[in-house]
Amino acid sequence: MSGSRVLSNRTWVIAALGIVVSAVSIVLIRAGVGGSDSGRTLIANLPSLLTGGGAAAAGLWTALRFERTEGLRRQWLLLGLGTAALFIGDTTFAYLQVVNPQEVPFPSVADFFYLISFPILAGGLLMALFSFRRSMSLRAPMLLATAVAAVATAGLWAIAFQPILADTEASSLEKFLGILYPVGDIWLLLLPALALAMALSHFAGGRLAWSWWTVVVGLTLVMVADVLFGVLDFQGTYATGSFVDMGWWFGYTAIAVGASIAVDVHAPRKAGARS
Amino acid sequence: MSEDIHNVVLDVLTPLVGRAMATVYASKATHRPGKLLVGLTADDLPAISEEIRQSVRPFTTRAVVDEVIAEITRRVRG
Repeated sequence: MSGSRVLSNRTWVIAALGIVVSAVSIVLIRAGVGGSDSGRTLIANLPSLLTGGGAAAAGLWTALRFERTEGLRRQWLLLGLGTAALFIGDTTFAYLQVVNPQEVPFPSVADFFYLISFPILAGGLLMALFSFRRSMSLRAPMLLATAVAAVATAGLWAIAFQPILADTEASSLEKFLGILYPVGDIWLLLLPALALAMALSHFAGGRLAWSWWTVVVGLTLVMVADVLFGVLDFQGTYATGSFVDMGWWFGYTAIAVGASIAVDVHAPRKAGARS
Repeated sequence: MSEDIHNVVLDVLTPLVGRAMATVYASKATHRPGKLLVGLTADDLPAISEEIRQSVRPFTTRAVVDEVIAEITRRVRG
């Protein structure tokens, strides 16, 4: 309770690592380091794998730092597992892309892991949101977030869904998945993240909300990158390692930082203990 | 002493939950004993602590709540 430093060295190191990995990757990708197509593809995928793997490890590690009876353990377990599913999806996608840089099959095993991450992450966010239900009514945040999700879906209808449905070369499954991704992003990531952010706004200045703020920012970045990827990939203008990927790199980094902050603020260190 | 208890609760909770929610929780907690603020004494701390526990516990750990209550008790009694 004293005014001692709240954030641990570990949290700062995770944030710094995420930024360094992203910055170095941008330089390497722009310089075309890697030689062959496969080499450059591997380099372009590395930052997503490193930051995504770090976020999954940090989420699961954080869950295990809390006792079984703590709600935070279940919330972080779901966030860790959801991020792990994304990491496995990214690893599978990278492998398929390195093996054949010209044509990655769609759908593939990677899509299974990407798709199951949605309900798992949504579960973690909703559990976090409902932990505040004794403190405030959650009706307004849920209604407002639902309205925003509906508007976003309507916006994507014109930009992305109609062109996908009109595509005569895509199979029905490809069209279905092409629409399912942004719908999942909006309704299972954006909606709970937005509702949680609105609930957290009551806790402005309070450090018990810091970790959730960071997670909300991280998942929002991941969601924006997902949607941009979907649109650009459909247009045939997406390239691995492009600016879109930075949304995933910084999003995963933010989730890892949020996990570390959760331990800092909810599992206070004993006086004199080292981080 | 009584006004001190309300302020102590507010002071301890503010860094954790922000000023707005700290005001809500402190108000609920110091009304829990069923007395006017001016009548609160250290003997009312168990009731106040219980209210704080019920308010804050759902979104944080038992360790944090125990630390909050210990700090309030220390500052009120000390």
